[in-house]
Parts: sequence; structure tokens; C-alpha cells
Amino acid sequence: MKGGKVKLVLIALVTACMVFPFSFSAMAALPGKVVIGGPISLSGKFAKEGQQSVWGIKAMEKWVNATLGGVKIKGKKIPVAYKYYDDESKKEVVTNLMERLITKDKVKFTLAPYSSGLTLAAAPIVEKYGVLYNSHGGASNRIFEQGFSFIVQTLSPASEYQTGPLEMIKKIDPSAKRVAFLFQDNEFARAVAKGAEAKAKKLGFKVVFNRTYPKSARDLTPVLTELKNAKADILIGGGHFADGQLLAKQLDDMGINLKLVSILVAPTLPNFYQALGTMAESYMAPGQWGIGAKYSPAAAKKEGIPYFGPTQKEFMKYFLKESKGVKPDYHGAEAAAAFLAYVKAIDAANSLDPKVVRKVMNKLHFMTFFGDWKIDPKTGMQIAHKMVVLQWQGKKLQIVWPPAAQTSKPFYPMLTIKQRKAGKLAIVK
Amino acid sequence: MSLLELKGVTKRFGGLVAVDHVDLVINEGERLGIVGTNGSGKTTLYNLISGVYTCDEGSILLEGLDITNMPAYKRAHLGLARSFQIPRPFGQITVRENVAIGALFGTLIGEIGEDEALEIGEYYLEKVGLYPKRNEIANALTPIEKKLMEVARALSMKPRLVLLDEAMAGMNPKDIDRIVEIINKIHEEEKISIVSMVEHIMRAVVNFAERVVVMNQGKKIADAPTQEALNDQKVIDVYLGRFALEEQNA
Amino acid sequence: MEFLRMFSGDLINGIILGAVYGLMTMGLSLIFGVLKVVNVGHGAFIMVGAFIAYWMFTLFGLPPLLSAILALIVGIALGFFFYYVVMKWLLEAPELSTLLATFAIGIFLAEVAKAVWGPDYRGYSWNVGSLNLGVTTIPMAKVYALLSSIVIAVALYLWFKKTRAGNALRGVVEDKEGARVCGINVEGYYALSFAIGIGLTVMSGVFITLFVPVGINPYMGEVYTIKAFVIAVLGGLASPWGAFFGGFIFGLVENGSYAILGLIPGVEPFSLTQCLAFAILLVLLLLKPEGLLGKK
Repeated sequence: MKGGKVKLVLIALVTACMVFPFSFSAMAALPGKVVIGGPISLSGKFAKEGQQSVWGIKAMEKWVNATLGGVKIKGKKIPVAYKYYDDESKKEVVTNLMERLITKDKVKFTLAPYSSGLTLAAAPIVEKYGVLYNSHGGASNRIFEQGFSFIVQTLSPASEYQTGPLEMIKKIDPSAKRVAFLFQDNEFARAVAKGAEAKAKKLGFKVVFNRTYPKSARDLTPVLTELKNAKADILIGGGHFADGQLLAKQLDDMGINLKLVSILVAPTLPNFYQALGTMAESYMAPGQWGIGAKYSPAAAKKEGIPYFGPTQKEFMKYFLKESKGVKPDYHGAEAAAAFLAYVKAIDAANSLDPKVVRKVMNKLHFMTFFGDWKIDPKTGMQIAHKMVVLQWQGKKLQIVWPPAAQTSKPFYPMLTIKQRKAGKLAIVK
Repeated sequence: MSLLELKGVTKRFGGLVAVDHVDLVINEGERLGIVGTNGSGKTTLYNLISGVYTCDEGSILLEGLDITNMPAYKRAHLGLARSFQIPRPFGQITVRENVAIGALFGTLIGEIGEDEALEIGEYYLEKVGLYPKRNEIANALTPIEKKLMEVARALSMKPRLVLLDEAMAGMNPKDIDRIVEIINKIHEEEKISIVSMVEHIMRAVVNFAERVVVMNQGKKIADAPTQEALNDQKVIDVYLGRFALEEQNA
Repeated sequence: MEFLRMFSGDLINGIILGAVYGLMTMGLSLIFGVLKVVNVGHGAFIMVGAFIAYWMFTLFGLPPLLSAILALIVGIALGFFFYYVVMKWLLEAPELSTLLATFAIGIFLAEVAKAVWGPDYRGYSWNVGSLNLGVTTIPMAKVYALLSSIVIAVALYLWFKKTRAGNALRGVVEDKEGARVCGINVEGYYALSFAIGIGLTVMSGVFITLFVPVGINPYMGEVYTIKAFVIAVLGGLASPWGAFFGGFIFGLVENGSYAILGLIPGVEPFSLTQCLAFAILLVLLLLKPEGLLGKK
């Protein structure tokens, strides 16, 4: 009898020893922290935007851990960590670093580098390893036409860049039907133009002028002479920093007065106002986001969707701490939002399996300080986030569209050249 | 004091000794002829004197001043002028401008302006008989006219010593005579030292030089008044009847 | 007729643009003509001039026409500096060395500019009114650029013809050795030519800002380097006033052809104006391989 009891105890002990470590490893299957990361440009031509992105993401890393304790999986809170390397704004470095992040650092939730070109460069690698990829700095539609199944987008795609002004005009002045397009001849601007043209058609605008100018053009007078004759109500166009500034300057030089002008990129920088002075008043530009955007829990409630992440004020606070006082621009905001999207999706999926999370993302529609977030299930493209329209009013950049985000009503129609020369400011009463 | 003195001047190119310890004295107002075939070292000697090459050994004194290491352009300011075997005109500018450049940068450098330089240039163009062609583009001249233009340009520099490269192979006797006549006349009027360098065309040497130096394989093998040098046995041996040939063709 | 109005407006703008193009290329031609050096870093020096115009105006309110003089002085100083520190040692070396050296100098300048002034795009507004010519309105700043370019080109021409230094340079360009034995300090004139060439280039940067007063940044020079090269070849690589005339023609064609090309349906005229300008260059080169005022 005694031997039998001992045998039983022994078997129980052995079984326990065998089961016990398994249950431990089942618990250890949940890592100590969830690493979200990616290559980002801290040197080279995208250094400025890359630095903004890093500050934004780091700010969110701290907010998530401080406020939420991290992500919540199966009832357990796991802190998040951000891992990044400098990609020097170079394609070859991006691909190397992405391989490293995935294979060595075992990152399953990756953030894309800054710019459409670099975003596209790393996409095949992510696809190869079956990990997630969130684009926060790559707006080109082409990225999402390649058939990748693991990439998602947080910022608005290129095709949506200049649709806001058209929607805005339709609402505040339906009689202004004559629209002119003048874009720089580069891949991104072409995607923007395509989207804008389609929207114009849909909303019933008359396209009276549609031209491009080459990247190297330093004198737009011939094409602007033609534009003058077209007698348009609104002008939508631009390309990059330098040519955008040039376009604005030469519109004034040639005496072309329009009711609304929305130019890509250039007017979003303080240098635009510094270069043009009060001639810059009432110029508009699309932006992914602007300081003071009115996205908030209340606004989300109005739309009937949940709000996630810090408020505008909280974001500002955390960002300024990371940047040591440098104000955020939309580069920082969109990167932060991408990080938040991951946290929200992981929470919703209650899993760290990229496939599962990706599937859950298809059902999500929420708002952050950056705006709405909802993706197209097939391509992963962002379909709910709206570009804001920014306008120079009284030496400050105000958000004038969409209504959910606006900090000031739009100043319409634009101040004439004469008025701006006289120093009049575009302040909405 | 002599005008120009070379002491033990030597120049090597790799293993080849082009000029081999040459001593030479040129006096004021002399008419000197340097004779030697291709490879005798006479062109190298000219380049050493004018400063295009630097000596490996030896020294060059201009009126007692050591100019051995002085750059070519500075020697020009001190009064050394030179023409080339194949004329080197400033091709795309006019003849009178070509010659005026000589005046601007010769011994009168800094003392005269554009207009004076053009005047001096035209004076010497007249002397060599090129005045009618003064407004033509230099490249448009015939080879002998280019040669004369170079002479005029060298003279415009108002030099103390003119080194003329008379390589006249292929020129007809009438042209040779014309050049020699011009040079003699200039010597009479300007009272400057003129050195004329030829291969072996006796016409030019005999009618011009008071003294002849003969070069062979980098060394000086004769240095004497003209007739004496030409009758020197060493010289005859080297040229082996080539003189006789020339005499026949003259 | 609408077309004639547009066309004449384009031509006028083309002439003004051409003058600035020409001025910008003269330095390049001068350096090549005398030193046989291709200054690949050309655009960077234009950038330096542009920044001089910007800072002098923004900090001290100095009008660009005055900063142009400062730019010339700075450019000459830079030219002497780079000649004695870099170029002098490479003159006897194979052409590739000078190409690499000037390329490196260009990049060096751009990076220093970026480090000191940041990569941001800057601009300034010099408002001196505009000229209404009926067919087109031209800002006075551009008119000043046109007038200044012509004055400078004429001054340079006279300098070459009438001064001792100018004549020396003409000699050096034609025949180095001949010049040397005539008493010309060839090496010294190399330095002077390089310095003046760079001086002209930096100064042209100021005039370019009269034309394009925005978008000033460390990397702005690249566009101009390519254009300057094309114009220099068009005008005869070694001839500064060939470059000037070449610039005129290039600007004229680039702008003037817009209206004509616009008549062709379904065509984006602007991109074609560049093609047309290059095509004309090719035709001209076939007809006169040494360029407009180049020497055979």
C-alpha cells in the first residue's frame, strides 16, 4: 500500500513538473514589452521630417505607458517600446534596417520611414516576413496599388490632398464653378492632381485650365499668362517648397487675382510668410493636421465614433517635452497617430499576431487628435482621415476646413493683390 | 660686361643629356648665329635661355644678374624676347593686337597703356612690312607672314636681346633673303643683340652672323667668327659634306 | 489678337530671363576659356550669391543692387582662395581631377551653407513697383536685373579689349607659351581669371534672386549648373560674351516658345519649351560645332 501511494505522489510530482513549466511558458508567451518600430530619417534630406516623427512617436510611447499602462492583452497590461534607427534618407539603408528590425529585433508592428519613396522601398520586406507596416509619411496612392496585404495607412493619401478646398467652395460659394489646376510635374503632384480632377468632376466644377510645369522651371510667367486669360475662380496646384513659393510670388507679379488659391506644401511653412510678407495673407494649403485642430472626444461623439489617445492639449504637452520646445507640425502628428493606431488595434484584437490585428483593423473607425482613422480592407489605404485646409489669417496659420477641425472660418474670397500690398490682413470677423 | 652669359648650363630629360655643360657669352649689339641639326640641343638651349625650361646645372647671368631660377615672364620684362620655330600667334585676335601685347608686357610693362602699345606695335609691323595686314585676324596670315609678325611682336617688347628661331626648312631662298634683310636692318637701327638659330641653311647664317656657335649632341663644338667656324674641321666632319650640298643648292 | 499679345508678352519675359541666364554663365565660360577647367560646382557659387542678397536685405535692408557689389568682392575672394588652395595644384593633372575638385567644392559649399543657415527655403520681397507694358506686367526688380546684366556684360567686354589684364587674358587663352615669353605671368593670370569667374558667378546669384526671390536654400544651385552648362556650350565654351548671347537665346526660346507650343493641341507646352531649347542647341551645334561665338 505504501509503495502505491509513493508511486502516485511521484507521478503527480512528475506530471506537475511537466505541466508547471508549460503554464509558465504560456504566461511567458506574452513578452515583457511590445516593440513598435521602424527606420526613420535623422540625417539626409528628410532629417527635419524624420526628427518630427521621432518626437511624435516618442511622445505617444510615453503617453500610452503613463496613461494606459501599455497595451492590454488577455487582461494583462504590457508596456510599449519604440525602436528606431537612422536610415539617412537612403533607400538601401531603409531596406537593411527593416530586415534588421524584423529579424533581429523581432518587431512585428513596424512603422514606415518618411516619404512615399522610402515607404515603398521597405514594403516588400514587410510583406515577405508577414509583419504589419503602418505608413505615416507615405501618401502616394501607388504604395497601396501594389497588392501588399500587410500595409496600412494613417495619413490621407495623395489623391485626397486637394479635395478639401473643392468641398469647401461647394459649400460656401456654389456660384464659383471655374477651377484651374496648375501642378508641378512630379509623381506625387500628379496623384494629387488626379484625385482633385476626379473630385471636381464629381462636384460639378468646370475645369478651365489644366497645366503642369517642370521641376526645373524658374520662371512661370508663360504659363501664368495663359492662366490669366482663363479667368478662373479658384486655383489648385503647386508641388514642393521652392516652386510653391515661386508660384505665389509670380501670381502676384502678374496681377492675377483669384477667389481662392490652394497650393501644396509651401504655404504650410513659416518661411512662406517670411518670404512674402503680407502678400501671403489668405493663401491656402492642404495639411494633414494643424495645431489647434478641433478633433476631440466631443467631436468624435458627434460623429458617433470612439475617441482614442491624448487630447490636443495632452499631445502638445507630451510632444513639447520630447522636442524640448519645438512645436509639432503635421509630420510629428501623423507619426504619433500611426503609433496610436497600432495600440488601439492591438487592444481591439486582444492579440499580438499581426494577421489577427490586420483583420481587426478592417472593422475599426475611431478618432484621434490627428483625425479619423479607417482603412480600406483590401488595400489598407486610409479612407476616413480628412486633410485640413490651412489658411494664413492675420500672420497666423488657421485651420479653416473641415468644420470638425476648424479653428477659424475661411476667409473668402481671397484678399486682392492691391489689398495685400496695402498691408490688409485676412482676419475673419 | 657681357649681355648674357651661360656657365656650364646643363639640361637632362630622363637619361638623355640635351644640353651638356655649355658655356656661352653674348655681347651687346652682337649678331650671333647658332647652328645645329635636330637633336643637337639648340632648341633646348633657347628654351633654357628664355626660361621655358630650368637648368639642372649651371647658371645664366643677364648683365651680371643671376636669372637662372627666374620665371620666363620676368626675363621678358628684363629684355629677353624670343620667337618660335613654328609661329605661335594669338590666332583669334588681330595682327596689331598681337604685336601690341608684346609691347604691353615687355620691358615697358606698367609704363605704357593700350594706345601706346598699339602705336609701338604698328611701328614694328611697318618695319617688317606687315603694316597693310594689321587689321587681319592673325590666323589668316601666310606662314612667312606669321613668322614676320612674331618678329615684330618680339621687337615690340623693346628687348635687349632677341632670340630668333629661323628654322626655315621648306622656305624658298627669296623668302629667306627677305627675312635676313629685315633682321639686318633692324639690327642696324635698334642696336640690340640678335641671336639667330638655324639648322644648316647657310644662306641665313653667312649673310647675317658675325659669330657662329655650332652645337652637336648637346655640346658646343665651335664658337668663332663665321667663316672660321664654318671651316673648322670638327664642324665639317659632323656635317660631312652637307655644307657642300647646300652650297650647290644656293 | 490674343495669341500675339501672349506671344509678345512671352518674348519680352524671355529677353529678361535670357539676360540673367547669360550673366550667370559668363563666369563659367571665362574659367573654362582661360584655365580649361570645367567648374562643376558652378551652381553652389550662385547659391552663395543668393544667400548674400537674402541676408543683406533681411538683416540690413540693403537693396540687392548694392549687395551685388559685395557679392562680386566675396566671389573674387573665394575664387582666389580656392585657386591657391585647390585648383593650382591640379592644373597639370588629368581633366578628371579638376572635375572632381570643383564637384567637391560645390558639395562642400552646399553642406557648409546647410550647416550654417539650415535647409529651409528662404525668400525676401524687394518691392520697387512694376512696369506695365500692356501685353505683360514686369516687376521693376526684373528690369533692374536685365539692365545690370547688360551693363556687366559690356563692362567685361571692354575690360577684355582695353585693359592690360584683359589683353593678357586674351593672350593666355590663345597660346599659353606664347603669352609666357611675351612677358605675361600666366600662372598669375590663371588665378585672376578663376577669381573673376567665381566673382561673376556669385554676383549673378544676387541677380537671380531679383528674378526668383524665393526658394533660396543650400541646394538651389543644381538647377542652374545644368542650365549654365547648356548655355555655355551653346555660346561657345570659352567665350564669355558667347555665353551671354547664348543665354539670351535660351531664355527667349524657353519663354517665347510657350505660346507657340500652346497652339499644338494635347501638348503640355511647358515641358516642351525645355525640349525645344535643347533641340535648338543641338541644331546650332550641328551647324556651328564651336558654338555661337566660339573659335574654331
